[in-house]
Amino acid sequence: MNNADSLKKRVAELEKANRELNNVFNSMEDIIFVIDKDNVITRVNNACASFFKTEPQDIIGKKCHELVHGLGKPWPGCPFEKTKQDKKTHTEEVNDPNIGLTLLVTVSPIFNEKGEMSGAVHAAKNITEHVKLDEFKSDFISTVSHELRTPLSIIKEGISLVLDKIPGEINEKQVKILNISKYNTDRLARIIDDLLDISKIEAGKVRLKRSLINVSDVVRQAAGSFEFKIKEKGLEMRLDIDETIGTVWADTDRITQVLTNLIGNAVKFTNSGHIDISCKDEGDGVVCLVSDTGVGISKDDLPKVFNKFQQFGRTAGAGDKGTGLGLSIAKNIIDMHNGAIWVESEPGKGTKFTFKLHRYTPAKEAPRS
Amino acid sequence: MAKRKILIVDNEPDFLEVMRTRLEANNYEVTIAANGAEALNHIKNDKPDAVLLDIMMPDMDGLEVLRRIRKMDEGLPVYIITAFSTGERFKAANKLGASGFIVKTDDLAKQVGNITSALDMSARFHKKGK
Repeated sequence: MNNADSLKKRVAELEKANRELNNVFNSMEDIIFVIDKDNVITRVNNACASFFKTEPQDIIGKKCHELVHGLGKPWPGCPFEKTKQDKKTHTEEVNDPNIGLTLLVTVSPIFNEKGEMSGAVHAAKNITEHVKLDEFKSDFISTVSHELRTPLSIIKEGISLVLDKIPGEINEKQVKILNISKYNTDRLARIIDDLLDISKIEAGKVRLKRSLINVSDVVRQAAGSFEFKIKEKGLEMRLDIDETIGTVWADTDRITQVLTNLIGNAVKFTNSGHIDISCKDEGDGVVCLVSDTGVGISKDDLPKVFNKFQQFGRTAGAGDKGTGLGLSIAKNIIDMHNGAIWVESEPGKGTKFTFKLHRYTPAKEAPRS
Repeated sequence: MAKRKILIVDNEPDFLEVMRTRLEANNYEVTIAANGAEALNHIKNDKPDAVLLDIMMPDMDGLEVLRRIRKMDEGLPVYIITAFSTGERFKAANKLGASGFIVKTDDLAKQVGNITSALDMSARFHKKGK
């Protein structure tokens, strides 16, 4: 084979590889386009061209922010702005009124042979319907919870009237059965309350009532409300509260709710030993800990701890049954505060929940409060 | 001493029935109304000593009924029956001069007990004052 033949063969191979690559690129349903470091679009797939109701050649060469957002400069909400800073992949929900849709956009950096970032690939998925469905689901849960409350209150009061012997005398066995019924209607009421709470949080309908709060006071009060239950179970409560931690910008009721859920869980799953509650200064924030010497959580179950209605091999002792939503609500509340919550556990030894709240930084916190 | 009269307004007959039983056990004479128009008629004709008024009712809601009651009688104790102890309606009822609230999912017996104690105390105070 001479040189010309060899070159011809090589060109054919490259053309085939390019065709195959284009076929893959164009068969993808996601909207994909590549931009250089100056935001100029250099390549698009068919899904992208269809999305803009035009031909690929009419898009290539345009600046991304002009085409997508109708702006003369980069759109500040674009994940590419973050990628430019840290040269990492970012995935975000993009809600630009100019587009009128909700897109899930992943921006990944492209590096040249020298290792410099030469641009980025955008992959966008239209999730508008999915988001609408989620909103519908939240509204539905909220309405259902409303409607459940009235019949539930009637059942509860009906049982109470009979237990109070207002319609007439009842025997011990009847009292026992009615008390079980009453306990379970209360449990159902708690589930409805939690369900409503989480649907409101997830629908973004909960606004935090923030103020500068002294976390040590909030922790002490929340712990105090469990003193009786802890003693009753023969457990020891050990408090380690740093009085000098100062204030954080948070919603007292919501942080109390988080602590109540964490301490309540610790009490429920601990049959002997102690429950440690602490609160410490950590420079840019405050760290609170609730740890127990209870049954613990297996390694496989740990990642699922904050999921809704997650139940696994832990057996609670006597006392109020949980709703399966408490930890999920706790995580949502801490997320709303831009904080962090995590769990460590060892089966048979105990569980430790930690959450961190940041100090007040007006620029960061004010828009969400 | 004659029994004091209380009017309960709710479009849910079963709720009216359990509340009636509880209040009669607390020695009250109970009248019931299933909607706002009926409630306003009862207030005009029967002159109850207090009203328990549901906030969520079709046609005329509890807030409108409360607004009209306040035009007729500023001092009549009106307790609002609600499913939630927060929210816009709760705030509006407060503004319109609700005397208190009954939260449906909380312990009704305890709440009714608190209300009847407050009404008893207020009746004794007014009697002394006369």
